[in-house]
Amino acid sequence: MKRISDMFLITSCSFMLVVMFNCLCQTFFVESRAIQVKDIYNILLVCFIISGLLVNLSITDSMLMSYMTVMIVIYVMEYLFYGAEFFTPVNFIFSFIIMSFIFFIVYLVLYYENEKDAQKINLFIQKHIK
Amino acid sequence: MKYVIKKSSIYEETEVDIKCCHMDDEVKNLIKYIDGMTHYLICKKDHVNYSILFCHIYYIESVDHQTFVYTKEDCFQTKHPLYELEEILKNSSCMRISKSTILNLSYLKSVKALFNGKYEVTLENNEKLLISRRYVSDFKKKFGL
Repeated sequence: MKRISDMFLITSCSFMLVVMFNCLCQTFFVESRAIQVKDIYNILLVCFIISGLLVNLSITDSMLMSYMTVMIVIYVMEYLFYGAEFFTPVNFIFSFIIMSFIFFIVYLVLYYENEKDAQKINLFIQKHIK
Repeated sequence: MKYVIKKSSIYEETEVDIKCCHMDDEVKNLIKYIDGMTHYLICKKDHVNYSILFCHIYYIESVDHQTFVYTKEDCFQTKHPLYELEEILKNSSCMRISKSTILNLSYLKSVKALFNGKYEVTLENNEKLLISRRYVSDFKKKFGL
């Protein structure tokens, strides 16, 4: 149950962040393409898949491995949505930066959660084991 | 929790009698502790065999197919592989924390979260061990999280 709630929390947070980032980009860079309904669905689906992967991959030991898997999944999704024309250098670098940023945020959230649990465990140790 | 000690020469060996209305965590921990005081592991150091009580084990580590048992200040070798020890120690306060380590939770001093999702634990003898991500959830469960 905790995993499912984590998954939905990560999905909603990352979805909101990516959409907001897109809106900000459109505000400051007028020449950028306006966000469309298809894009929103794409972002939502990618965020959902990433969060599912991250929650399940968080039990594996290699952080780099989870990052690589997530990036591969994202590019496959982008290819399915937009085809080969998506893979221009600008698009590629731009999506790489955004996804790395999301990945970093997710790990920061997981770290924060783990640190909270660590504090609870330390309290338990002080109370019961000492 | 109350306890009564009856000291007399009529007793041949020490006997612990637990009276409780239900088996709560406190009683379970007490049983685990008593188990650790009565069960031991045969280990070797400098070609001499030693019996190490479970409760004196800080952690067990497997390096290059050899298993080492660490106490507060000493290190011994045992012929048992780690998976076998995990089974032997499953009712004690020990738990697997990585592919190569079993930790005795009784000697934990502090726990720290790491950015890569692992935990770093400091033992009472100030040794530091890593809990791999695979075992983090089991570790949390031991503390009711």
